[in-house]
This record gives sequence, structure tokens and C-alpha cells, in this order.
Amino acid sequence: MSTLKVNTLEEATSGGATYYTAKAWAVLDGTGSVNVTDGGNVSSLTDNGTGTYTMSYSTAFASSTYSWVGTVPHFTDNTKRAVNIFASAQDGTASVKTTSATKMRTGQTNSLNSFDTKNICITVVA
Amino acid sequence: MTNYRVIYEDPDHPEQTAMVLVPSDNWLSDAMDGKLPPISVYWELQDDEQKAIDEGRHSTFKHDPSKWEKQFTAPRIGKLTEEEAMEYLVMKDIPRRVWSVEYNRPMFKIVKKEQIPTNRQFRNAWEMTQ
Repeated sequence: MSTLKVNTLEEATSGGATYYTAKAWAVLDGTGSVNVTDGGNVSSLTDNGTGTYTMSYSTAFASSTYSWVGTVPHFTDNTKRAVNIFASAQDGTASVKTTSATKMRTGQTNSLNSFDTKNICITVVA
Repeated sequence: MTNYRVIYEDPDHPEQTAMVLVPSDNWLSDAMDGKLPPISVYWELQDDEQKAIDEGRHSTFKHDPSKWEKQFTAPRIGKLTEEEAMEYLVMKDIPRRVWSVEYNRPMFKIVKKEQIPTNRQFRNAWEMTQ
């Protein structure tokens, strides 16, 4: 297997738009004893409690300004649910979105209730 | 798929429930294939970032490129056993205060998956048994 090493990927046709690729991705199982179902550039998943997890990266990102998106499955009870990054630690002293890890919560969007779920899908572009 | 897990408590937040770290199989495979840099490469990055957090300039923090590139350019440390890889992961992904300071009781344990409860009804009340 060969490895392609480039700094920038550009479209060959007119415009030459730059391609931005995912630097990490994961499918997480937040139920039972939790698990990283599959992923790339993920070294571990930490179960911090109900619906609260920390995903650590194999290779740290170059800066803290990476873009992160996550989805959770649709639930038949029609409650609105989402996966969020913790904006800051509860005591306000430390960041929980660092270049080496991101702390996240799966919860109902209209309440503070956290929940455990399978098929948490995460993509990070940096 | 590894059967190991790490359970730990945060000495700075004793009110928090016990945490359980699960390694990624892909990362573990890389570790056992000898693809990891020395752990000091990650510690150097973590120290720089912590300093930025402490000084309130983390929102737009960027690593020093020469230090960041060591993740790829530093000589690899060679193949690790599964147990050695778990010890490496403790030092990489668990806060240093958990494993580098001696407390009056252990703050972390490497355990088998079977020792972790699968019933999460009282998940936020889990404690590490001694």
C-alpha cells in the first residue's frame, strides 16, 4: 500500500476549489460498557457518566479551532435529541474542546436530560 | 478487539462518578505495530495547550508547528504489547494528575471488560472499588 502526502488538494477543473477532508471520524456506542464501534484518528472513548463522553484523538490537531459535528439516531418518541460539545467545564476553569480531545453530551435539546445511545456519529474537519 | 478498560476517578473532582476509558481498536493496532511516537511528544503539546488555557488564550490556540510535527517525525518507539499499549494510553489520554501523583488510594485501575457493569441505570453513581 502506498501513501499519498500532499499539503493541499485542489479540484483540477475550473476554479480549483480546495478540498477539505475529515481529520477524524467515529461511530460510538454509548450504551452498556460503551465502545468505539469504528473510527479514524481516535485513540479512546471515555465514559464520563450518562450521556457524557470524551473522545481522544490519536494525533492532536494543529489548532483548537477545528470544526466538529455529531449526530444521534432519531427516536420514535419524537423528543428532540442532539449531541453537543461541552462549551466549557462545569467549574469554568478548563476547556473541554482541546486539540487532543473533545468532551460531548448526548441529550434532549428541550431539557437538561442526558441519555445513552448507540450510533453516535462524529466528524471533525480541521 | 481488546478486553481491557481503564477505570479512574478525578482527584480534583471527587464528587464525579468513576470514568471508564475504552481504547479504540484501530489505535491499539497501531500501537502494537510500532507506529507511536514517544509519549513525551504528546505531553509537550498538552503542556503548551494547558498554558494557553491558564492564560485565557485558548479559543484561537495554535500549536508550535515544530512541536506538532514531532507526532509524525519523531522516531517510533517500536512494537508494544497490549498491556504496554494500555499503559501508554493511560499516560496519553487520562489527566496527568490522576496517574502521576501518589494518593492514599489508587485513582485508576486497568481492568477487564467483564468487570465493568453493563446495566447503566445508576451510571452516575458508579465508584471505583478498592
